[in-house]
Amino acid sequence: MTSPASGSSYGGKATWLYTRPAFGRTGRSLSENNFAKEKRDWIAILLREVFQNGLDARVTLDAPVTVKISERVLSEADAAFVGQLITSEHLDRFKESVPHIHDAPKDIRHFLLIEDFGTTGLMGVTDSPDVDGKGQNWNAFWFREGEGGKEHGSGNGGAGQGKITYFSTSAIRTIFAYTVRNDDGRAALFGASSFLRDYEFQSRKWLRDSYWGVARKNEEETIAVPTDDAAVIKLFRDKLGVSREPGQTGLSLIVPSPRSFSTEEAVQVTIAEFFTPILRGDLVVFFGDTRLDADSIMEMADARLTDERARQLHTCTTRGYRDFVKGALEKSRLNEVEIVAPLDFMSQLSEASFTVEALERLREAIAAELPVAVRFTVTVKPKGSGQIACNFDVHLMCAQDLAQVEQAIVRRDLLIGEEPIGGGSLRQRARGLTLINDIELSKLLLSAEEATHLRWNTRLPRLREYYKSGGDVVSFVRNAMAKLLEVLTGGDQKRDFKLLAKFFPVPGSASQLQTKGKKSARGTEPPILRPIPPPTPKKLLLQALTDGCRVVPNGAYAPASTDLPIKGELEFAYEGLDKDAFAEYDPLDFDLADPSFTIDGTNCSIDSRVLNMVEFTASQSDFSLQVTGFDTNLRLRARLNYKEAVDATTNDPE
Amino acid sequence: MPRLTTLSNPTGLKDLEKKRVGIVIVDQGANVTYSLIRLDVSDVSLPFETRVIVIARRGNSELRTDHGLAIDWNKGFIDVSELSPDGVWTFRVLFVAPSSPKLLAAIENVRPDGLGNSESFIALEPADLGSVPWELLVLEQDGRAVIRFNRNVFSNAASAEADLHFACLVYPEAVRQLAHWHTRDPGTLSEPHWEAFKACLTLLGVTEEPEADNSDEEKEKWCRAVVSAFCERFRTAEQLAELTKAGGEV
Repeated sequence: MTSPASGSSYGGKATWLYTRPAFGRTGRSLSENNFAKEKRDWIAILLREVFQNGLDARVTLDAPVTVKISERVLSEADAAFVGQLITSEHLDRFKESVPHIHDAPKDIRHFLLIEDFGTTGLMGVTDSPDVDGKGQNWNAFWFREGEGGKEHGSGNGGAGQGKITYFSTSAIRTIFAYTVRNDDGRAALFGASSFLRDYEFQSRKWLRDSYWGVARKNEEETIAVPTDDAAVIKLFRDKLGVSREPGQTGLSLIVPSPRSFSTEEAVQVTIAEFFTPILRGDLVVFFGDTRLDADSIMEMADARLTDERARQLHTCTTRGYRDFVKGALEKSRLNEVEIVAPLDFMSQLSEASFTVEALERLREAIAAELPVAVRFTVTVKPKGSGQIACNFDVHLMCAQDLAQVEQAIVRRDLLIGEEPIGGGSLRQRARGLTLINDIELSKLLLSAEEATHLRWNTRLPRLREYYKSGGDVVSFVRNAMAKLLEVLTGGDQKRDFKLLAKFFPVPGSASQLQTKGKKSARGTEPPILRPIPPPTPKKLLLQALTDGCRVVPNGAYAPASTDLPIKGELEFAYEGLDKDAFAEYDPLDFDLADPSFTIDGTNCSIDSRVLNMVEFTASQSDFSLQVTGFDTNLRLRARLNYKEAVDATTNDPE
Repeated sequence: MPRLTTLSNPTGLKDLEKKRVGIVIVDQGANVTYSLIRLDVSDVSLPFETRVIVIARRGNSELRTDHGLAIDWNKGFIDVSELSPDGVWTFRVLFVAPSSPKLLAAIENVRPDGLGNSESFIALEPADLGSVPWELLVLEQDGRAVIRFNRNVFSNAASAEADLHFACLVYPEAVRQLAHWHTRDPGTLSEPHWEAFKACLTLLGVTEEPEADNSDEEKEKWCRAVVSAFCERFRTAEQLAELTKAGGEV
């Protein structure tokens, strides 16, 4: 690669820096095993890492984070450029690290491009790997494992292991990153490899991690620092199709020789697992030209993610659940929740935890299969500081027609996909959502999260390191949904003769139980009945015939001379199945303009006969109109609207 | 503007009331079936060879099925899994003249039983049972029975009903116990308040009834036949196998 030294503030040409092990253990990284989940494909693990990192690095809450993921296949000419980035020696070294793999890639042309916008980029010092602490994302991303810049933070991630998923996405376990930083506005281009294990190359042991950058002396050792050479960065951006412009803060990751990537599957996983932040407007995702944002996610989800597929992905993001979540987010946002007094343990939750009115409201809603929302308070006890009261919301809705339970826990933006476990699992057909937005509670739960953020582990050392009774708080949150449902339905200890109707039906029965539904605001007060006025006799009669119908005066109520002339519209339609016959009329059924239809009028004139309507004017009280010629194998529906010369007076209801 | 309507009936088509028919839907996930379990046209003047056609509808899809003669219609379960997964179930029941396209009578817009508001002749009830997980209580005078489950296992009936292991293991045994209860005095099956259980047996294809002078072995055989028909109808063993394969997830 050509890199004019003069353009870089660090000076020198960017190249690979390989490191010999110091005195001590060598071997292979074990953190990758934490991401090998039976219930999540690699794409789900990767996307989870990408989105959570983007959301944690959000510049401002006023604008969403945008993540663009696309694939690039380089031309022959551009492939030569790649040879300068990924040298043949680098590929040889990779091969030595995986001697059992015989089809290691040689020609690197295929790249996965992952870019986030509206984010801070990798901030902090770039020339001293020893520096730790808040905001030192650069060192955390490239040089830390099991801890990092987000350690004990309140964001979505923080285990310090997730970046391994980027390396494992590359067939040669190598990535490059171009970042524009929000703290100093500088650009930086850097690369790294994290081979599976330490390896032997030219009869010497080498560490599995190596870095691509500008070599620089740091005390007694040589380290790699990023290049900020504008010319090098421009060449890199142009050749690899990076869309980030100088000045656009955020991170662009380039993954060479990525695993096989299906956009359709990625869209499905994104909807299934990141439905909440997208719907809330916190996250916008592009897969090529496919855009997922707050405005399109509901429609996109309906079109791209079937209920069956959502379940295959081990989520409950079905169509019904998505509607439920939408309503739940709105309720939490508007604080339309019932508040529960603080409890020490979730087992203390009982009917007495609610006011009589609140309990009745909640039980009524649950019985009517309507959603309910309850806000719990739990006390977090950080070590070294005072107790903090934290809130979280539980949303519930019973739905007997559900095929299976649908419940989820969302902490900040992350679906904690395998929670709740054990006693936290709902045991009857219901939808549930636990929403945790409180920063301090989120910090505690993050400390209990396994590396994949799919479940909590109350025995993780970090939890005990930072909190007193942290495990109790985790249990409190985990079990809240199931316990709440138990309390709300616990009063329902009756004998139930409806639930097993599909197995043991009583033919033709209708339950004697009162139909579920909301109580009237007026309670059982009987409605006020007004006397019904007697019907006004119609002046005309409409008589059905075998093949048509007839309009005649209605005997004693026949129109008087003052009512005349009467204008009428007579419509016809063959009676359909069980639908509105007139709405179903089709001109191909019949057309009254056809001379096969006979229209006889006495003392009345035919004003028009088009399609299924005859318009007439009756000039005398002893008129008649007869329309015949319809199919005698079909039932015929006729409808007459008429208007007298003067409108009739309105009946006085009193 | 006054309005009048009228309907001609040149073919003499009879509009019959919905209460004359009963249709049940059995939804077992991917396998959805219905059965025309009740049809009462005894007081309607129809030719002896009148056939019954049922049109099942859901969404924009429908399935037309000939259920045979109105006097002895097919009560078997008809697979309607191919119909639209969304929408409201409605049925038309048509009576047609033999070897003629002419409709003699129709019952429109029939909603199936068992969806939301119908009853079961076996109930679920939480009870204090100590270490016993469940028991069957027969309500002789009502023609019903109750599965009383241990409230320490399930806090309420909905929880028990939602547990598929409970369904697969308990319901067949409850059916067996109820059948066995009837074998002690087979005359009970003829009593009007046990009509629901008898209708259920007919639905399951069990048309024989135990006799008072049957041997214990014959009565036991009949009970096994009832349980077997129930399990076959609801694919009990198959469902249990699926649960086991899925590592117990429900």
